[in-house]
Amino acid sequence: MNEIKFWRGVVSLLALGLIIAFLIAVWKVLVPFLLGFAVAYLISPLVDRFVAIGLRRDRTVIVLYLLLLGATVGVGSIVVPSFYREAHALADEIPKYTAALDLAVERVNDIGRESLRHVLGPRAASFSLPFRPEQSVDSLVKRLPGNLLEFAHTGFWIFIIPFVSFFALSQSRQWIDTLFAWVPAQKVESLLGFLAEINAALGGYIRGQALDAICVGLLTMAGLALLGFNGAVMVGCLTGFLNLVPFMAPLVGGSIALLAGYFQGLGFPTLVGIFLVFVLVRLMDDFVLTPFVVGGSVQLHPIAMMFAILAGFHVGGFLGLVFAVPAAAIIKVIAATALSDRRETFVMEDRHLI
Amino acid sequence: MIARWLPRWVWRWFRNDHHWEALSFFRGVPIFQGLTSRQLGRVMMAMQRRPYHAGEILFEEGQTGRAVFILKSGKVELSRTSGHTRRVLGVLTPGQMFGEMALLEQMQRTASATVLEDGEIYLLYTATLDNLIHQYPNIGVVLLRNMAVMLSALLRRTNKELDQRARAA
Repeated sequence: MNEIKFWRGVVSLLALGLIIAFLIAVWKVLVPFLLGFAVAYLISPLVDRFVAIGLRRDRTVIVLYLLLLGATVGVGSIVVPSFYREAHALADEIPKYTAALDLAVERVNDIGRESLRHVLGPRAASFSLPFRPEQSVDSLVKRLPGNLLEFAHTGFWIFIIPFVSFFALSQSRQWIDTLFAWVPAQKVESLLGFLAEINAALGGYIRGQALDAICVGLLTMAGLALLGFNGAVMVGCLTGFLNLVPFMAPLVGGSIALLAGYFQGLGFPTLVGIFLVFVLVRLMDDFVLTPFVVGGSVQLHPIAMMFAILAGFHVGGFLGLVFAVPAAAIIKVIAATALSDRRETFVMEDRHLI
Repeated sequence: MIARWLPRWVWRWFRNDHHWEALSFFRGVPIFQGLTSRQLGRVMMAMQRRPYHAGEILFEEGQTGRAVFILKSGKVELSRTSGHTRRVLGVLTPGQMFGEMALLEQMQRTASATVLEDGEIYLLYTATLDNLIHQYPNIGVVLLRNMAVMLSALLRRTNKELDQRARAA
């Protein structure tokens, strides 16, 4: 009996390992599907409200999608032109930025040569930092067609994500019913508990994070626009998006805004203002938005969260960062459920022995 | 003409007949009495449906109870084993609820449940119910009151049985 259990455990672990290896191998294909499911998960409470009053799920989803499409087109017609204008302005400013950076690098080189002259003598004249901003921008521009092709590839996501989320929203109940019909009768309670625990761990987190990202993005955008920062929409959107990854938004968004502000020739008080905008938004996020909007956290230890984020980045780049914490929360629920079932089996065996 | 016809057509287009059929069934389940259609609809969203076949064991005595079962159709037998003898406690019919102690505390089941006739059962997981009660306290008040009434009835019945046994002795 124990031998059977041992081999069953080995086979289960092997199967789990194979599944994880397969998922890592097809990660790039998997991303739009995961995003589709995440979108469905975000919208599902809204659909559930209508279903609870006796409306058909499929038809509610159709109407909701048409409304969301209209809203997306409406918001897009405001944001996309601003984005385009700012990107165009940025493209015009790039030569100015690179010239300023070149000058700064040259100044550092001069200081270095002057200091090293006493030690190295004439050989100090050949000293220079191994970084030429102009060359870096040139190589970036040369690589641009390839990057654009990569972007065109992700452009298909615009079709895949709504497609997946539509079916996930309208048919998820049938999928779950089928899953329950397959599971042996005595395991139904465990599966129900497992799904409820995952929902409890992720539900508030995913929906809250999405809403939190929108709030942080809008607040940053408003603060930067008030300071006369050129590119507030772009940096606001970027900061909101980066807010999906723990610790990322203030570091990257803030650094980009300060650098861009410096090159735009904004004065020292305005740069301090930009810094304060990011500090204030961060404080509001921590003390107002997170407790009231995000609500429950995923209950992960900070060390586990940090490990999950690094592992997520290693496997899937930036999108791996976004999915790292939810994936870690699911793994934690799987482990907790497996351990609890195992403990229960011990109790049952003990009872039979007595 | 259109003003009268259009809302009716829209309602018919959206109306989910299965939902209304299930709603009328759940109105008859004691724990849900007093809930409005909308509140009951929310509780129904939290439940999981599963078809069962004769002979399937739903749970065994000693397993930790994590969900409450509501029998929609078919028959279920509750039994208890002591030593080598198995005693049938009763046969449940559609509309009856069992395993409700799991709603109050996640203790070990005090009986086993076996399906006698093919049917359909709804399950409500305790943590999901807790979540629902926190989200909608109005629903929680009604459900907990109904549970208190059910427990009170059970206590009265036990007292009566103990009295009868004492008199017989």
